[in-house]
Amino acid sequence: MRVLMVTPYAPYRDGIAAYAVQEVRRRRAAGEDLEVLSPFPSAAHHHIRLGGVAGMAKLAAMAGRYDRLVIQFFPEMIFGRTRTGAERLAIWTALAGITKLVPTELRIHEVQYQPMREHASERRAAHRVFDQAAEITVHTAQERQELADAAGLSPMRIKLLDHGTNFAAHSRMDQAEARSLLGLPPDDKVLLCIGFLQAHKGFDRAIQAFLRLDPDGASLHVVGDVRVYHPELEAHARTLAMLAELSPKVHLHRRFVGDAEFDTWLQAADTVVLPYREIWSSGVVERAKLFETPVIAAAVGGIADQSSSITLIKNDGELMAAMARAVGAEAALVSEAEWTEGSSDYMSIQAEIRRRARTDDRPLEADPSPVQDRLADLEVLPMPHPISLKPWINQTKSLIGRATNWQIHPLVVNANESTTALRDAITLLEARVAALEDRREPPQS
Amino acid sequence: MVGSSVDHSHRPGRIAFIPPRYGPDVVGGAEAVVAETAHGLAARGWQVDVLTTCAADHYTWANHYPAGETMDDEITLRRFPTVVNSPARDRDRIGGMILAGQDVPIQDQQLWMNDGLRVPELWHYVLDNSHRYRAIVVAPYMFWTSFCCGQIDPIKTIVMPCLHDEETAYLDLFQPLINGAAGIWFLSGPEEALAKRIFHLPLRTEVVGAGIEVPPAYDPQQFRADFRIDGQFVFFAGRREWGKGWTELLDAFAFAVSQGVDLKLVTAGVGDPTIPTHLTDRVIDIGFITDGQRNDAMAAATAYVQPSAMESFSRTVMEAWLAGTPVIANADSDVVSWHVERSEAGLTYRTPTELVECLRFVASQPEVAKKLAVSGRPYVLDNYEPTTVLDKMEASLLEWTKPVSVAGADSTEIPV
Repeated sequence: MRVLMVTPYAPYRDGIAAYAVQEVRRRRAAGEDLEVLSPFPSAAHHHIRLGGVAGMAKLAAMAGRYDRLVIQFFPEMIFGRTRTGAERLAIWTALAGITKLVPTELRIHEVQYQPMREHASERRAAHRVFDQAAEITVHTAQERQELADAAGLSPMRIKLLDHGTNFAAHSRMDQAEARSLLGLPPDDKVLLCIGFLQAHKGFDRAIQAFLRLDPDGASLHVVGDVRVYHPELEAHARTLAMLAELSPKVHLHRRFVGDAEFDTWLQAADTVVLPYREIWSSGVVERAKLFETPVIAAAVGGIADQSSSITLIKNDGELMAAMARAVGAEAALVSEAEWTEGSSDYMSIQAEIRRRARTDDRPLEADPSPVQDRLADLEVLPMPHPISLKPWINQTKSLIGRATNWQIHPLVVNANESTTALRDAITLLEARVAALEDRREPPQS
Repeated sequence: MVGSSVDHSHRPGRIAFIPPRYGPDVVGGAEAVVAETAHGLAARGWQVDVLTTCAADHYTWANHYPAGETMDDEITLRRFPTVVNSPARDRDRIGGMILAGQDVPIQDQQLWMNDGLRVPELWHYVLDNSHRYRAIVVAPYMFWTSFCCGQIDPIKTIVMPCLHDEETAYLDLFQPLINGAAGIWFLSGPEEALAKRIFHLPLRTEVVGAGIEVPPAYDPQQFRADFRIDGQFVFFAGRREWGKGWTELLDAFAFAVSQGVDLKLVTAGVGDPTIPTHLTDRVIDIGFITDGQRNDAMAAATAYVQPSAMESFSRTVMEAWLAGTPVIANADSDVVSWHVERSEAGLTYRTPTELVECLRFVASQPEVAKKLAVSGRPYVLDNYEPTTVLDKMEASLLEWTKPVSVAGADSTEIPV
């Protein structure tokens, strides 16, 4: 049986590519005649530029040569270059043709629910694809329910596949050896945030919590780099760097991390901290399980389904408490002085309780400060793309764009840089103020 | 089994060597080191596979040799077809940015790596079979074959980077390959020092050098007769291309000739030497020659010139010294300067004018130049005699890697 897997692939460093390589290895070892097709030139046997209608049409033309297809499904690969709803519908239709022609396994890593919820046509088209697929897999029960609801499927059609099914360790060593290799102190309590630097990973939350705890004999290491160059990702990476500079115990190792080094960090750490703001499921959690490294993770997406041994946190307060326990710094959470008579009004007492606890009940997605609120209105500007259902309007606008982009592009870049610089400055200032407030001596009565 | 104290029973498991090219038509220092090492270890009783491409030419990567499995003495040689089917526009564009020292985003570095030679069948062979190998040795660092295959099973991968101080070495792209390897074999101290500056090296590294076979005899007169060369000449063998300093050598040599320096320049190897018409009687291209002819040319030459700044070892310099010939080398190469300073068997130049003066010196004082080379041969024999080098490689293989079980070697199951 000839099998074709459609996926981002090695040597690209990408979570789904890494996942796919492990599945390819397992299936080929089991005797499957499996080839790989990737959207870029890679170690795959074939490549087609996917993300648009033409690419999907080429895939449809090629699919008939195989007895089975496996698609590592995520929106960027399937729809990444579309600009209109009509294009999306055309891609869904091509996919429907493929799933009808060839038994197809859809490994769902992410789906955009919004278009399905807002447009009945997209929902119908997606339903057709999913309904015809030979197999649909997701990693968590929550993903299964959400996908079933959005696409109008029975949850029974969707199979749960353990995220770590195909995972194997890339390096094996004890903690002392791993720390020696990475130049980490042998006796510190080491907390680790690892992965691509993206705002939704919430590594900034971990740093802020750690700064407020300021534990002795412990360090927090944030390891990784931006996945691709983008002004927003760069801005976030800069924010992390500035936050890290606030304490010598916080280290940002901004670099491209290979599989072996990734696993070495997991073996060197005492605890992995993943305060995700949003995620479907986490490959880091699965890799940490390989080495039995404890994990603190946000209870978002399907994380809770991935392991019963994760310390799940719902907000900043729980995050800080969990990190405090992990580094043996519970004392930092305890009020430092007896209560004395002082203010008796609710606001003052509440404020003092929060100050003493060094925590509050903010959800992970904290309310922005008034300044941040205003800054949030300053969106990062994209270069304008023509979007219209009428092709001739798109073509005309594209021509105008080509003629004027050389003037507009520098202005857009400059405006975005100014906005991100302002955001960085405000974020840094607020973090410093919070740290100062936390360390302020209690008022003398 | 040749010259080793290691008992055969302590060498279970196969070693895979993965060079981008391999074969008698291939000219390249790193490829030569891999071939020597593979044959040397096979002669000592190791089971050795060479996994490589069907290409002989590193410009076109055209499939020259047939794909499939053959034997090269004791070595199992497996060739896989190259795929060069992308337009290379990204590679050219991004390559220009890299050479210009610009900050290149990581996604562009990945595009650059993949928009050229690729060998998917080789990659999947390693993916499917890495569990059968005790060690996987990749070299040199910058080719797709090393970059990609070297990260499939890093726990058993030894990288022989053959590193130069060049822009590509500083790309983030290569950090995982080097940092994540089970161990690194360096060819020289300066190469290791450079790597320490650029990478976060693994704990296990060793300066192993490269083994240089000692020719049993030289026949310089035969060489002169075969190629009808009389008079004094300096010799250069290798890739006649810009990156190897050939054009600078040619320019300086032309200037030396115009200054009355009475020398010829004899050159052998691959690439187009593009000799200017006014130098055709002074620059003699003898093309691709055998190892024996090369050794005889080394012995016949007044001096050997190494104009490349991009050397991680420089075998030809060693071959010149073995033949008792002094070396004139580009001082921009830390590695060759290191060899020259340690052996005191040659001269280095920092500018074209210094090169001209070096040429003038060997032309006018050939006997003094010959005496300069006296310490070269013992330097090579003491440091790069194949047995010495293979001993170091064997010791590190035994220390850094674990034998695969017989079941693992025979199995198609992936050990988890």
